[in-house]
Order: sequence, then C-alpha cells, then structure tokens
Amino acid sequence: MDKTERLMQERIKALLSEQPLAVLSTQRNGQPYSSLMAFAHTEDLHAIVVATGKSTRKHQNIIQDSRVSLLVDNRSNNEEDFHSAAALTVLGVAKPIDTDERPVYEAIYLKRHPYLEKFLRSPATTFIKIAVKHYLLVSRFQNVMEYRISDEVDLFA
Amino acid sequence: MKWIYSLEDLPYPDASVIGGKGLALFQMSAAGLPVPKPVCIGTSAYDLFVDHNHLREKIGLELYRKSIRDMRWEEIWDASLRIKLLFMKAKIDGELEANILDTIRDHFGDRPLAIRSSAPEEDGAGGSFAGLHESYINVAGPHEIVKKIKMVWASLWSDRAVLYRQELGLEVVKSQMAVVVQPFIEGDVSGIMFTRNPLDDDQMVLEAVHGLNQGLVDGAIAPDRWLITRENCRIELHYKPEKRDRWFVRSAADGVICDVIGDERGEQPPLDEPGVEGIVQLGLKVEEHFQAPQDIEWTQADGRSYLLQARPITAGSEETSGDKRAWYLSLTRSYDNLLQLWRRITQTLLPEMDEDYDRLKAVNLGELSEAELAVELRRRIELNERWTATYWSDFIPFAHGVRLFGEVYNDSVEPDDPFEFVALLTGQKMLSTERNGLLLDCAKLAAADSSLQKNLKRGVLKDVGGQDFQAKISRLRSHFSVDFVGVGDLSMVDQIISAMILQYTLLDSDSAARGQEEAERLERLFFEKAARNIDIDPAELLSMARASYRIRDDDNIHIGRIGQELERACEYAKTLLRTNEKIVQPKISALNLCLLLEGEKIAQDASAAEVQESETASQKRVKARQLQGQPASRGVATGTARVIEHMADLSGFRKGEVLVIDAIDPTMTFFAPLAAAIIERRGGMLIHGAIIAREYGIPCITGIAGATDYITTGDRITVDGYLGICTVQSQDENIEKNLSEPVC
Repeated sequence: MDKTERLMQERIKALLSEQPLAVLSTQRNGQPYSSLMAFAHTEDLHAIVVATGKSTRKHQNIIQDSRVSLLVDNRSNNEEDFHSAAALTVLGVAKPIDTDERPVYEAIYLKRHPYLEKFLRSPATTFIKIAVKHYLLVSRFQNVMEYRISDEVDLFA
Repeated sequence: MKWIYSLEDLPYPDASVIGGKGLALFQMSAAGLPVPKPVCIGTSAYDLFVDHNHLREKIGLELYRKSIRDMRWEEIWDASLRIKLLFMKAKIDGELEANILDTIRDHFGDRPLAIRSSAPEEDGAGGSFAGLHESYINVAGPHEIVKKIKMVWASLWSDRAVLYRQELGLEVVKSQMAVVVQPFIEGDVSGIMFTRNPLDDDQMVLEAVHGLNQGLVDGAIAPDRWLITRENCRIELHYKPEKRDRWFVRSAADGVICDVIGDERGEQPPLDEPGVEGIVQLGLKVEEHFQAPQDIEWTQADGRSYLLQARPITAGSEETSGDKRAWYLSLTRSYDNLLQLWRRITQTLLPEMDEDYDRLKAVNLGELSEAELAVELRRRIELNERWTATYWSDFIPFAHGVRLFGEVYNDSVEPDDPFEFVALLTGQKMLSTERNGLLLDCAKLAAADSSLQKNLKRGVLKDVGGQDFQAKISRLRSHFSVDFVGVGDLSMVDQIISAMILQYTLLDSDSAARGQEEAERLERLFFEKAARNIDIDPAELLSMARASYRIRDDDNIHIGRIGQELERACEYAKTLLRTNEKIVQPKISALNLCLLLEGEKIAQDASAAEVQESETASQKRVKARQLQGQPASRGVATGTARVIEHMADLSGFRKGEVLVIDAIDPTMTFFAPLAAAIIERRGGMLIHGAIIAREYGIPCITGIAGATDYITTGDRITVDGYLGICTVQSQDENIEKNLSEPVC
C-alpha cells in the first residue's frame, strides 16, 4: 500500500471512529429514505455494520433493493463547518450477517455501542453488514476523494 | 455594548480588548509621556463587523481551500487580496458606525487622523513581527475614516500576517483586531529608537529622517543613524546616509507622498546633537516606565516631540534554513523602487541579455576544438548563472508591480471582482502572444500545403515547406526559445514543434482582441477614482504595472534564449566527445562536460538518467472525484485530460484537451490556445498559465495540489473557472451490474 492509500485509509478510519451515528439511505420504487443509525466499522474498512428492527421501513427497503448509501460527518453545526467539516459518503450493498460470522461483527458493534446490547440481541432486530464498494471523502468544502474498496467499475457512470 | 475606549475609561481594558499598541499608548499617556491623544476601537467592534457580514466563514473558505502549508506565498497574497476586498465591500453595523464617528468627532473634531492596527497578539509572541498589519495616516472625513478602519481590520489577514500565522496564533474563529485612532502629527523629523541595541547591550540606536517616518519604516529612505553609549548617553558614532534627497510629507489629498527634499534641508542631518539628546532622554523615560528596553517610534513637529509607538524589544524570530518568508516579504517593493527596477530592466538588463544571446548565437560551435569548446562552455555556464541570479534579484521583485497596482486599483475602485484589475493588463503585445501568432502563420502555410503536412506528421522540420515557412521556423527558434531547454533529446523538439503546428491548423485564426472596450471603460474608471485617491500619477502606475505584467512573461523567454545557447553548446560537446570515442551519459551536467572536454576523468552515474515512475496501482484505488483550486480564468469547459509529466508528453497534446501540468513555463505557453482549459498544480492568479489563459479566454484553475497525481491522461474532466473546481467525470460505466446482488 502506498502513502496516498494509507493516508486516505487513516482519514476515513478517523472519521468513522469518532462518529457514533451515520445517515443510512435506502430506497423503494425510486423514493429515497434516510435514517439515523448507530454503526461500527471493520478495521480493514471493507464492512460497516448496523442494526434495525425487522419491521422498519428501512429494512423493508433493503430487502427490495440492497444498494445503500451512508453519510458520516463531523460537522459541529457552526459556520466554520464549511471549511473545517469532513463528510464521508459510503456506497455499498447490505447483506444479513451469517450465523458463523455474527460473533465477530457483534463484538465490533457492541464495543462501539455497549448500551445497545439488548436491542441487538432482540429477536425483532436484524443485524446487517454493508459490504463497502466506495468511500467518497469530502473535505475543505469542495474536495472530493474517492477510495475504491473493490476493484469494480464506477458507480456513477 | 462598549466598543470604543478613551483615556477616561478607567481602569484601562487589557490588550485582549484594545491590543498591545493601544494599551501601551494609553499607559504612556497616563504617565504623562507626550503621546498624541489615543482613542481605541476595541476588538468587540471587529467581532460585530465580521459576524454581521458573515466574514469569518468567508475567510475560512479562502484560507482553508487547501492546507495553508501547501500554499505558495503568491496564493496567500491572492487570498489576502480577496479577503481585503470582502472587508471593504462589507458594511459596518449602523449603530456601531455612528458610535465610532461620534466619538472621533467629539475627541478630534475635523482634524486629520492616524488610524493604526493594534492586534491583541502584538504584545505577545507577535511582538517580534512588527509591520504585519496596516496603519494609515492623514485620514480625514467620515467616508475615509470608515474605509481605513475596515482596511485596518482586514490587515489582520494580510499576506504577511498569514505567512506568520503560527507565530501569531492567527485563527479564523478567534482572532481579532483593535484599532487606534489618534490625531495625525505632521512631523518635520521622525524616526525610531532602540533603547538597547539588539546587537550590543551597552548601546542605544537612534535613526531619523526628515519628514514623516513612512520611508524609514518600509526601507525606502536611508536614515541618519546614531549609536549612543547607554552609560553616559554620548554619541559614539553617526552614520550618514549616502544622500538625503527624498522625504515623506503629508499629501494634499489623503495619506502621504514621497517628494524631493530641498537642497538646503537635505544637506543637514535631521537631528543636531541636542536633538539626539532630547530623543534619547525621551526613550529612557519610556524604558523606565515599562521597566524594559523599548523599540520606539517618534516624531517631532514644531519643536515638540511625540511618541507614536513603543513596544518591548524582543529577540527576532529565528529563521531556520529553508524559511523563505523574509525573502517573500522583501519582494513587496515600494513604488519608487519599482520605477527604478523598471528602468534598469528595460534600459539595461534586457538589452544586455539580448546582446549576450546574439554573441553566443554567432559562435560557430562546429569549428571549435575540445579545448576551445570547454572554454566556450564555461563562458556559457557562467553567463547562464549570472542571468539566473539577475532573474531572481531584479525580474522577480519587479513582478510585484502587478500586485502593487492590484492593491491600488482595489483600494480606489472597490470592484466586485478582486482580480478585475488584470483586465487592464492583458491584451498587450507580449512575446508569448507574438510567438503564438508565428505558430499560427506556420499552420496557415501547412494548411495550404499537403506535402508539408505529411512531413510535419512525420515530425520533420528540416528543409521542408519552402523559404517562407523555414524563415518563420527559424525565427521561432531564435526568438522564442522553443528549443526546450531540458528536453535533452533535441530530435524530440522537431517532433513537438511539428505536432503543435498541425494542431494550430485546427484553430480559428480570427481570435480578435476581446474585451477591448471593457478594458477601456475600466481604465477610465480607474483614472477617475485613483486621481482622487492616490498621489502618484495613475497613468504612470498603470504603465509600470503593464510593463511588470509583460516582463513577467517575457523575461523567461529572454533568459530561455541564454539557456538554449548553453544547451546547444552541450549538444555540440557531446557529439564532439562521442566522435572522439569518449563515453558520455545522456544526462551529463554541463560542468562535467567541461571536465571531459578538458581531458579529466569523471565518474558518470548511468542511473541518474532513469525516469522515476510514480504511478502505482494503489493510486488508482484512490481517485479524485472533485478537486479544488483557485479560479484563475473564468469559464467552464469539459474535455479529455492530457497530463504533462515530461516535456515529451507535449507532443501528444491535441486541440480541445484539458492541459494538466505541474507548472507552465512561459516558453511552453503556446499550448494554451489549443487547450479547452488549463489546470496547474502551482497556485496563483498571476502565474504564467493563468496569464496566458486569461489572454485567450480559456478557463483555468491553479493551485490544485496533486493535480498531476490524481488526474490521468484520458480522464474526462470539467473545469469550472468561476469557482476553481475540477470535476473528474466517470471513466467507466455500468452501475447496475455491480450492485444488484439481493440482500436475502
């Protein structure tokens, strides 16, 4: 890994580590839908995990279309955000977590959000892994850098 | 809310409210020292002004466009110019403005004023960086008072201050500026004094000039200088300046003016011995009051002495090696100095440089023996070094003429666009535009001659296209240093020129003068406003600025010719050595060539010739989607990127492509008319790429860090020359295929 990639990973990890919440966007029949979610990320940045009630609209949306986007940012809701805040857009595919891999992801999630243990273990909750394809890091108001986790082609073409 | 403080406001607020300078003046006044009565506009007024006008975040966006560490001084200067105009165009809250003007009228009536910066940081670490913020003297009338207060506030973000931001603790969110207002004292004699010589603890230093001390402070006028023994206050040494022919005096309009001194006054030192004694005693009183050695500014009018400023002497900032900030600041030349440079460059330096070039060109290198060629090569190395040194010592500082004009234009006209002034400088006949005209002429000949076109496609220039064509090619080579110093392989040069001529055949040949009427309108506006605002002749200032703008571009072409002659001698040397069966590496230095010619043995490093490949697979994983730089020429264009990493890449350049380059050299700017847009890593509004882009009306962004790393030849990119944003469009397609796996 060269310096550019290492630097990009460090900046993404820093932002993901300092923020407990992300906005998750799903869609159904072309209608976008955004929700605030507790999340946790894997050290290799390949996956982000979230948990939600099975009956929620966002879960229903994911069942129909697994493509999702997440937004994580460090804004302080002051004017200086325009030059100092960073925002990370994550594009990926949501998948339910298999039983054998669940303990690993559960540990990651509960380390970030120990107070959500009861919620996570409820039978009515589903635990979802988002396999990340691209990260887009926006900083200094207009700088946008893209980090491709998978070697797949462009998502916006 | 209290905004303004006078001597009656006891106890005095601290330096965080009225700044270091303001507090020292209040304290000296209270101690009975002779200080022109001060009134201070506190930092809360600055806060109200910037918050009322949302300036704080506008400053943030200017200064954090990219890491300030990556900003060149030119970019910082550009940002400061924009910030200053933002301040000037912003309105002071009505209640605050009335309060300020009423207070000033109550204290000073209609007297002309001195309006000075008083930064809270100045009494701390920033004390050693005096002169970073602005002060104005001889200011009269409500409009001018308000304008100058805004300009003092804006100077918190001067290029100088931003350069030293770390030492000053300058931060967008919390930094503030107070303003001192005093009656203006029209001094007959002025100066400075160090009550302890920073170089010798046993001495004091006193400097004095006739008139006001503006010239002394900015170095335009050499002062009389006395070294005084502290112990007995005796004069040890009196250094006289070479001449005392100029002085700064009050101008009939606003501000001050540098004028010729009368002979009689000029023959006399500004202070006689009792005069020196008087100032020394005053200085010692100040030192005693503050209980520390002081750096003092003083003036004398009608036989009375006044203290204008006092601050503790601090150790100067340690300049670490590689710290070029002091050098940048030395580029800020006075108008007089620029006029002198202008004369020297046009009357002496450029003609001398061209004479040198003609002499070098006339030498028949093919006739020289190895020993003779060694002598010739050494002469050329020496000449090239000498002219390069002159380039740094004279030409680069003269480029400040454009900046000075820009500042005066903005102060006088207060335009909406901080770089509107550039329109008055473009459209002149420059060597680069003349050269591009020649290329266009060659292209026209090629368009009408299919066999010439065929030759050009093969990269052949020698003996093709007839006399007229050959004459133009020869003029191109001899006058415009298009032989690319540094390419190394000269056969590549013919290929590049051929490719360019072919591309020029695709150009619309009628690129008439654009914006001429607009430029004339702006010129009239400038003359009208400046006549009321400045004391120097606006027409002379504009002529000087135009010369500065033109020479900034032309000088590289002139100096490029000398470099080209050095390169030519190197090529001859290599050929001669190889003919004599000696081994010569392709990238050998000129000096090593001399040694080989002189029969010395040298170690040649073959690996030095290898080009480093920087592209890696992982850089492709990290891609730029949108990159931000400085908008340097307006317009929006989309095209295929052509990234120029080596000169040889230029031969592939096609009309309508977006030129992405580290830094455009003026000898290369003939690519500009062909480009859909230009992106340069090097930042600045007044760099060559930006100048030529504006000249041809092509969108341009400068100062995109990593431009050549993150953009790849073939990328589809959109260049927004209004906002300075480059968007890298998607190269590949098919979103559906990748993200259609079902969730369950």
